Amino acid sequence: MKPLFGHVHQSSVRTSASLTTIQCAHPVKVIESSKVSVSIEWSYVQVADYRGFILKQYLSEKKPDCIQGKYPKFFDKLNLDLSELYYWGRLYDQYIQGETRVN
Amino acid sequence: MINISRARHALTSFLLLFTFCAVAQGTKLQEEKELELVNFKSIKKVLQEDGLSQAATQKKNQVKVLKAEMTNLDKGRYEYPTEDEFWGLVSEYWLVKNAQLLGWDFEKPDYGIDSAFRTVLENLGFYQKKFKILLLNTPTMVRASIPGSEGEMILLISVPFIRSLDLSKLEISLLLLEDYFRLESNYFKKAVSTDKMKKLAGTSFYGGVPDMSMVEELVKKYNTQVHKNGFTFQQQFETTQKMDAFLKSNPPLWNAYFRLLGKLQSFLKVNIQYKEYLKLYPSPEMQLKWISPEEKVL
Repeated sequence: MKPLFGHVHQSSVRTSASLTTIQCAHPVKVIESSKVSVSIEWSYVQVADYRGFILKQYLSEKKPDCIQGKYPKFFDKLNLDLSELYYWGRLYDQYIQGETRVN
Repeated sequence: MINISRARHALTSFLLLFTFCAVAQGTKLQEEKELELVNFKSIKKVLQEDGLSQAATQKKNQVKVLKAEMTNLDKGRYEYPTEDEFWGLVSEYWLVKNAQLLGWDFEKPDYGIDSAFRTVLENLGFYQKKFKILLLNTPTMVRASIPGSEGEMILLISVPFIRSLDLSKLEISLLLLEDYFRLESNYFKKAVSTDKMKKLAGTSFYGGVPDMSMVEELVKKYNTQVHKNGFTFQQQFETTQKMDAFLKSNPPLWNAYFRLLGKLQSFLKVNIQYKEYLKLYPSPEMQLKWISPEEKVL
């Protein structure tokens, strides 16, 4: 998981309900199942007992550099409550991200 | 009888010889034997030949290096993020803290703003620029641009405002471009940054606790800048001049921008709901004047 926080979604829609919130570098098992059809943007995953959907762009094969891993003592002191963790994950669902091409 | 006597003699000789050998073996003191066992010098040569002493030295050095690395890693856990990392983190922290007020967590259709804005940037020669656009479901905050990490920009724009003005994708992109220029000019960072943040960013608080008042100060200043202070006439003039300079090379874009300013001017004049906007972004009327071609007197 690359963003600071993210959600495992119930369906492959950005605004769909969250099954669980996970934080950066949390391991995620990508499942290939013939029973579940997944659009190109999404991955079907398993996290603990939950099976749901995460945007592919937020997954990485390598362990990502996470700010909470780099500065754990500082980050802990932000004392984020559950609703803030939830919203931080939603932020990455709601961002419309883009990048201009290389010249 | 002779045979028995010979056998006895042989046995006696054998026992004597055995005793002699045993005595000869036992001439070294117990301490000497022990010393031989513990005396490294006596086996040093053997160890050197086996490369064991080298391995021991290497091991010692490895342990030393590992210990130093572990200490450094532990110290690293007690650091403040760098200034660049701070901006991205605090911007998102501010968005999270104001989630309900800004109303960015809502369902909306794909307006295609990302591709329209990317095209505008690329047409003007802005390559390898990363952006995040966040649509707001509130009329109380129209637009803002806040810094992300690694030079990334976070652009906020209100959907009720877009709808009220019936803005096209191109017009939205031009507003975002203005906001991008403001961010590039560091107006926001200059208005919001604090001495404490500059002093502490990237430093260590090893053995202590981090000073989190810095984050709270920044969040307050974000609110003041976005909702109250906005931009000065001078900053607006510079931004408009920059828009004019860049868009002149692309007449369709320049014309769209000119029309957009006119649209904003007439809309904001009669809409009391957006009266605060004019205090934050003074003023479309002046902007129009600044970029209007001078009339030639014949």
